[in-house]
Amino acid sequence: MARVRVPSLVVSFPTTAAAMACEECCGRRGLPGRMIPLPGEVSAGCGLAWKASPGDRDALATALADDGVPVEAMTVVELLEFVR
Amino acid sequence: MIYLDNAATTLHKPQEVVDAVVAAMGSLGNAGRGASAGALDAGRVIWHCREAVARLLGCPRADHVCFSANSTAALNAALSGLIGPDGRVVTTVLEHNSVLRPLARLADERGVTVEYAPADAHGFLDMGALERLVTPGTRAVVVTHASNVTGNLVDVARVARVAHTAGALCVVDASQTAGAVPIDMDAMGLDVVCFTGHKGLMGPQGTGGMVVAEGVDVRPWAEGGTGVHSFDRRQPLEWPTRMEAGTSNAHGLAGLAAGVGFIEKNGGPAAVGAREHTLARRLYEGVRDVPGVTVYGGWGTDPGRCGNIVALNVGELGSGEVADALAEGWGIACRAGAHCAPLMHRALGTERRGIVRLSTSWFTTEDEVDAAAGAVRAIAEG
Repeated sequence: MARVRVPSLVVSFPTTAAAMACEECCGRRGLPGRMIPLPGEVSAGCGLAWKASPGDRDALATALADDGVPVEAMTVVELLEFVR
Repeated sequence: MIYLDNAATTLHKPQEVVDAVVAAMGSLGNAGRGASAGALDAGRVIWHCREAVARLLGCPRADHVCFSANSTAALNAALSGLIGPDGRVVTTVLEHNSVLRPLARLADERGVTVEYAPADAHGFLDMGALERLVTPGTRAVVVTHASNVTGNLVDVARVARVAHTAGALCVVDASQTAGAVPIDMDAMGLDVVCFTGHKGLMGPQGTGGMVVAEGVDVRPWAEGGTGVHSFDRRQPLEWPTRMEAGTSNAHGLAGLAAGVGFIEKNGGPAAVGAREHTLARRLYEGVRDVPGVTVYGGWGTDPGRCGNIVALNVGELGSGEVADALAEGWGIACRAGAHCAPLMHRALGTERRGIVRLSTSWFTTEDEVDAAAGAVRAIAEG
């Protein structure tokens, strides 16, 4: 297994409830991504974040705004991925 | 056993509620504490429950549904978080101690002035008196949606209009009505609705909460772990985190969501409440002409504003004696005493002897209420 760092879009939230609303929104609309622990590069502390590809940014921003899901930040960071 | 104490808790739950709790107990982690599968599943369950409660109570914002252990905890948090030093509050004599005692504490500790709107002879809120009490400068009008002693309903939409005209907030205790009486807090103009999960919503004990309209600022009651913003010195102010310090009762909320689903599947609160009301009315009609039986509340004057409770006494017997006779002689579970509502009993003149409260649920049958009416008759004739 190889470790690589991949540029990723990280959506952070003010609350766990907002994170769950994001997941529900993306699932309903068929938008890609998954929930991850909030990376330290984005914010200290703990919490959940939605991880997607940087190219999904506009679609995510539109969908979350349409559904009224509070977003703290959208940040592109290099996240570790394991490649078999 | 014939269970007629549903105003205390609905003992008989939908099987879906039991199944949901059991499944949750075997699968959920701690919501918002990491991104493990179990933690995410817990977060999903709680979010699903927020959406269900928001839908049922007419709140456009699911994230403004804040869960707590019960209605009492929600009312304490709401009242403490809304009413500052030297504030003025109007409430009613219909209230439960879950409203009366937090307000008494605010009076003692913050110099809050509390006024009490009276009831009429049948236990209905005197709306004219309430309107006169709600004057400019009043911070909040705190009112139950239904008396837990008589079941008499309160027109909370009208109370909200009165409150807003004076610039006050309207805080509603929906402990006796959520799930059994339609509530659309957006359309009715309610600012805060506090509810419990284990009565009309048919969920587990240990669930409840408050639903808060957008723009209403309830300051946090408890502070602690939230799973977010761990380096902030104080409780975050975002909804619903501001009102939810500590681990949530995800297992219970799984059951609460199932309870709401059961209500929706069976036609919603109007249909469920109508069934409970019809059964209570059948019980009332079975006892109203029994010599020596006194029935309290509005059944004789305005049954359309009655809920699922028949409150009565028999002759000169104490309410505890009658409840004990019903239990020992007929296996009927009900509730005697003061029901944690001292001002309502004072208004009805039943402080000393209390009242026998019989209350129906979706699962009550006509045979059961007929048996209860027969038992009351037998005790009265004995």
